[in-house]
Amino acid sequence: MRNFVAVMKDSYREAVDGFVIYVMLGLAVITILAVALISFEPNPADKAFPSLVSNFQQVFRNRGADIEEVGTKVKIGPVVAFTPIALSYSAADIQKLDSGTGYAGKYKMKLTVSPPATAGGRAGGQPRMVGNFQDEALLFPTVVYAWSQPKTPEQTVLMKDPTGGTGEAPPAGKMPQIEVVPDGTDPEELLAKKSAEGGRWLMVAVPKVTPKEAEGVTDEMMADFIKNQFLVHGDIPGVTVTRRAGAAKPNYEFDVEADVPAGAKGWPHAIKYFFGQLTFTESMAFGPAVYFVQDKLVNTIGASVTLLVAVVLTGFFIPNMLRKGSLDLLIAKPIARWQILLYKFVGGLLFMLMVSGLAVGGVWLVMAVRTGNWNPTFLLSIPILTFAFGILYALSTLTAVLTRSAIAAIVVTALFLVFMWGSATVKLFADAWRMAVAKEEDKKGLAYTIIDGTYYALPRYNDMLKLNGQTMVESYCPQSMAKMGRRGDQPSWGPAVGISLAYVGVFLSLAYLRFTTRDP
Amino acid sequence: MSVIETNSLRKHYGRIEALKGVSLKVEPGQIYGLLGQNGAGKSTMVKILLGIVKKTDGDAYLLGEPAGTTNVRRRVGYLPEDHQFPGYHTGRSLLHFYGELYGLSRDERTRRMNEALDIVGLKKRADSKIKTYSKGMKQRLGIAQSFFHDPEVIFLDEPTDGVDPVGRKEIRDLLGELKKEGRTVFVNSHLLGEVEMISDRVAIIHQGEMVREGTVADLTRQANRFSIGLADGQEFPAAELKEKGFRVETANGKAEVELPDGQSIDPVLELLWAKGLKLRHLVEQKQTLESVFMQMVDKATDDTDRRAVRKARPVTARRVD
Ligand SMILES: Nc1ncnc2c1ncn2[C@@H]1O[C@H](COP(=O)(O)OP(=O)(O)OP(=O)(O)O)[C@@H](O)[C@H]1O
Ligand SMILES: [Mg+2]
Repeated sequence: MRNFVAVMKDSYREAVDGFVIYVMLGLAVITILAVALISFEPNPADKAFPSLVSNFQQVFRNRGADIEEVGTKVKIGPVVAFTPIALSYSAADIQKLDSGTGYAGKYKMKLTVSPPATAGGRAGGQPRMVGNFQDEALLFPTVVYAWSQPKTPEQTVLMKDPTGGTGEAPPAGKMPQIEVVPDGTDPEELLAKKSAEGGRWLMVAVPKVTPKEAEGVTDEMMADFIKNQFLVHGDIPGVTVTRRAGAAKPNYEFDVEADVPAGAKGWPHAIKYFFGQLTFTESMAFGPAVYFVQDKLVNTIGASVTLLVAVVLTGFFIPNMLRKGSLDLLIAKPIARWQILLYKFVGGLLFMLMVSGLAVGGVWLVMAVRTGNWNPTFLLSIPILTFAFGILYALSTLTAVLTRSAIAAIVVTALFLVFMWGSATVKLFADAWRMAVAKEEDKKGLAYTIIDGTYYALPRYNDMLKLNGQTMVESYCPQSMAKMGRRGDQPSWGPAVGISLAYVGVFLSLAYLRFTTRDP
Repeated sequence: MSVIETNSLRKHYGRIEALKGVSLKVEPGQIYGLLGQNGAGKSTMVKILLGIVKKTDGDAYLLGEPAGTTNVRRRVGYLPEDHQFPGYHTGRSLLHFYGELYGLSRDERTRRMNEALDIVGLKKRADSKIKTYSKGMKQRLGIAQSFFHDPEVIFLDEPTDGVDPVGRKEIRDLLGELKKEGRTVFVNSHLLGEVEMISDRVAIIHQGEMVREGTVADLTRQANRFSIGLADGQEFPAAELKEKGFRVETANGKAEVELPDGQSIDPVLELLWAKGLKLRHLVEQKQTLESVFMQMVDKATDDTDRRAVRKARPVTARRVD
């Protein structure tokens, strides 16, 4: 233990010797200050509610419990593009009913649901496809019905692209031509036939809701739907909804009373910079913004830069110790060789712990003060980054012991880091592609096997950051955003930590073997 | 119990034979000098004793334990040759680091390092970074770190390397002090004059083999050689002595007489007496360690060269097998 403490102190001295550590700490401080200049101002209610309800287009199946959405899927080439159903939700006559502090408190408002304004546009095709192909007024009940089902069946329709493939808005009033694919007909065959007749035809999968089912949607179901949307998008649980009679067809109107708790995760904020001089966005939930700064700027970009720089700086530590005149001095002391190697390794981690501790801790603190969000999840990035660095530093140690060269240690380790990044990035794109392609057989193949195999065989600190990122989203973003993060392949802590630890173990064991069995 | 004991110690670095079966014993409280040319195997010897390199064959014991265990290193001090201290330490922080490894408490470390830094004359610069030290200052720090933790045995590999003449004298005095405190000091050097001045015993190794071992007095005594001077104007009876089998050389009015084996100086003195010659000067000649060393090395080189040639064949034969 005394030896350990001694080597730690020695490593600390080594780390803070020279100016580089101060440059890194300086960068961390600059980052913290830069983040401190971001301000989050809650929107006033008359701006906040319209902004919040405009998100209601995004509908999750199974009464909001599912991660999959209700919408239409257009097949374009091998890829399927998803579009939520284009209803418009607007809030008006917003009144605060009590005099609570800040934005928290009871509100009253009128919520209107109406079909898309551009009835003739591409979106205009949707009401015709989804809403019983004729009646726009059935569009909203169809969505509510689809929302209420665990898994709505789908049907395929063909739509003649009204823009003729130019993508430009078609003339007003020009409705797209729609052709339902009858049961038992191969949609691909019909598509080929229609395309041969002329025009650009698209194949669209829509929720299969019969007019009878849509007509059967009660006012209570609609009210439940809206209540659930306030919860999913706004993190606002206490909402009462009553349908208002007498709305002009095809619109629906509701009286809404919402009890907004302090710190509701979905409450929109204006996000500004430099004392309000620069506006990022007028209206956005603060959770995603906090997440963006913490996960994307710090954990992704900041971490990559820090890891690379740390690899370079610490690359000298062990080769310096192994220099001919230095090593003899140390091995002649009453300390075992495994201790020298292991403690020195841990000493290198100390460097990363200092830098990431300052950067992550500082950003967290500043964000917490700015937003009142004291959730500590982000702080887990400190050990994760230190651990990620541990994988690299173990390889650096091994290379150093084998070659005694700092340059070799740095180059090998940096290449390994780049290789891990590359593998993770390729995997990211491959996964996104696989989620988008239509056919199962397009999701397999040798290329995917290599991409997945490489990714799963390498240490996966990325997975750890991803997992932590997801925990961050779950804890301070509205559910709607958290659900999106749960789609696709989910990493898990066990393999991510296990494989990475195995790498550290193998690297260090090999280094130890070389270090103890051969004469210095 | 000997402090250091090796029996037929061998060390191969790949194809290089650095030690070819060296046996030596060092008793407590001695200053022991290990002499040899560059590449003779001196440093290798010390490194095996400290566990820095592994022996190929033979035995090595340090303080009664097999050499190289972590525990025995606690009772040992070591100054390696060509050492490089981590430049990010100051003299003082380095001694704190090493002291912690030796298991000294903070108070002990502080007290002892102040003493040691004072002794080696480094107190003023103790708080500067080592990278700012001159070569001699680093060497002084190296010596301080080798003894400040109160070791029973101290190994010094070229301790005066890079130190100015005044500093060398100080180091020699320090070694004397360490000896007085009852410590055993093992010095590697090729500076023969220095070793001669301080060592109780010396060993000379050459190309990995021990060629001579003993007290300095033993090694330098040149038995059977006398320098004789007579009163002014008297002629030395060289011819007569030569007839009796003595070898005589005369120069500057003094005669050098070498006795044949088994003879004493008495017959020469009797002859001078009988001839009425008046003796003014009679000294038994001693050699310097340097000339002993040169002789040894010359002889050993002749030897080993021939042996090396003879040895080469079986080695080649084994490799072919
Ligand atoms: N690590 C090593 N690898 C290979 N050969 C070595 C190694 N260390 C020493 N040798 C060889 O072993 C022999 C003895 O070296 P050693 O360092 O013990 O000599 P020395 O007597 O201390 O010489 P010097 O007075 O120059 O310090 C030399 O031939 C040297 O080249
Ligand atoms: Mg040497």
